Amino acid sequence: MMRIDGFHRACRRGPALAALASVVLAFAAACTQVASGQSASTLASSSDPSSGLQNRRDLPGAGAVAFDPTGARLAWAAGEEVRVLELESGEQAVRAAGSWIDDLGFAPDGSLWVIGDKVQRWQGNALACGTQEMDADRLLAVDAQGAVVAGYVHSDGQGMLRHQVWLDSRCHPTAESTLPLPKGIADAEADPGAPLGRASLHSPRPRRDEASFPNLAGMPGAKPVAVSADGHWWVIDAGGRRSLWKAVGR
Amino acid sequence: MVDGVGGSDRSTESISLSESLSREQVSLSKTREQELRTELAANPQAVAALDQLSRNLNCYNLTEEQKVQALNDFSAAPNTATAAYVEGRIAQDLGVNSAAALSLVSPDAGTLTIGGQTYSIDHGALVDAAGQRAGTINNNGEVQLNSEQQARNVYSDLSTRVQLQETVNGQPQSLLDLHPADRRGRLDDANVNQDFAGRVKQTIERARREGMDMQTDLVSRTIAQQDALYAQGRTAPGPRVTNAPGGQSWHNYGLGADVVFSTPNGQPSWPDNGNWTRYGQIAADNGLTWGGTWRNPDRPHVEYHPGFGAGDAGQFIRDVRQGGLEAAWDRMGIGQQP
Repeated sequence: MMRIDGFHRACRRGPALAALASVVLAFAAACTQVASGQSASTLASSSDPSSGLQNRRDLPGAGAVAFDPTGARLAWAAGEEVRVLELESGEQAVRAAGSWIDDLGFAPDGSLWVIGDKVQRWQGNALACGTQEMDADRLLAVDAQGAVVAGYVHSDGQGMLRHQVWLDSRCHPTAESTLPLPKGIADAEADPGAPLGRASLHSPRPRRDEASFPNLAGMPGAKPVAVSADGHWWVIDAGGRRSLWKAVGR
Repeated sequence: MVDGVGGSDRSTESISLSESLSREQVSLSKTREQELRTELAANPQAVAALDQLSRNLNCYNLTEEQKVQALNDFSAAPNTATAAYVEGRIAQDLGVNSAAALSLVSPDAGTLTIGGQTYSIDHGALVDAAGQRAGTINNNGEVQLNSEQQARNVYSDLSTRVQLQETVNGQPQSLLDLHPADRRGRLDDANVNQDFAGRVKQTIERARREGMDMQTDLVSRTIAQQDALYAQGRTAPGPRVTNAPGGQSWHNYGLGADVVFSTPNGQPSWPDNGNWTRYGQIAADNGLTWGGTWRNPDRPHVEYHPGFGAGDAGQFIRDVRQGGLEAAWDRMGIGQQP
């Protein structure tokens, strides 16, 4: 690249400038000459006393994540792979889904629904069933009888449509609907879906009372993504990077 | 005498010329910066990255030519990651705090999924699932895997998932966050015209370079599928969900595509405050017709029908019935078979 003769004197007083513009990355790095040398793996062994959490491991490439309601397992999507972690032993299994994974979630019996080019249901390390290719983006609900998935597609001049499909436990479609999305819904994650039709169907990502959330004040920008059924394990997102934490002393 | 007067005059002229040249040179970088601002005006994130870069360039004693070169380097992928990279290269060449400079050239942390493999990023190194160093990545989007000779690029490889972070004051800050743009391979469908698909891919690549995380939604829909959708609310149960019967949509000819944004989790998103106008500008630059300027705006939609108007789709239905999609494409001069 170019040759440069010298560093401007004014910018050597960078820290003051950086304080005024802390979000300006380059000021922080060049003008203030900070922020180098910190290992990305630092997080992996850290703890945050104020939150009562201890970091156990990073989840590289984690997209969708889900805790198994029947046991101490965590599944996450990493590109075209599903990674399943035994929380206590740390043993990890990798399953190839064969396509990019958009969503996943556990059924009440511990089997795992995976949304890719096809919708798959995994039982343990074996593929129990899979659909033909379908444009599904989200896993809306699960129960012992099956799952409900949704895909979002644009219609000329009409806006976004939701294509919702009900699958039985053998991955066979049993019903479907195509409806315009209600106004005000700006993305797939904000869509509650059409009425599910079976009382037993529930979200694979149960909502939790925010009062039970850990105090993440010591980790600016961090937010909880998922929590295990017993409340001991949390997946925390910090700037898009996800990691697994365990509640200390519980 | 004449020489003296003349000499004096020449001296004055010489200073004046120098000042003039200096002013002209000063204006070179300002002119280039203004050009970029005009081009990127509809992309506030890219403008913010330019603001950041132009402010920080003033930290260094650079010639006008060097500033222009930095702006040109930035313009290839005007986003925050590139701004960091360009400045890091300048700081490297300058010898200013080599560790900090290196930190700007390469991401501190993040993840990369490319070629079906997922890597963690640790100060520019790609670390595979086994904890082994598998290659490098820079903030200019260039990826070099140890197992390959040719470098890859996170922008042009539309299937790449990349997230680049820098640590600022101890906190992770996202520089770039892109999801696979065509994860279902919709643009490679045999029913999609590849001239059109190439233009859509170029549009998405440029959007990615500008930090816009976009993905294909609907691309091809057959005439039969369109008819079935059109029937809903008319001859079949349910509310109406389209105004176009089979053959009236350019999607039916593999010449229409809908492109939407991605949420941080990679799910499709269509926010009112998305950079739709910039997306439309880029699409138009690639010869596509954008639906965002229509009387009933259709912001995700782009289509391609050289020599024909947006409302002419219906006249190709006979071609398709007689000679397949190739017949329709041939009539537009974009056939794929010799």
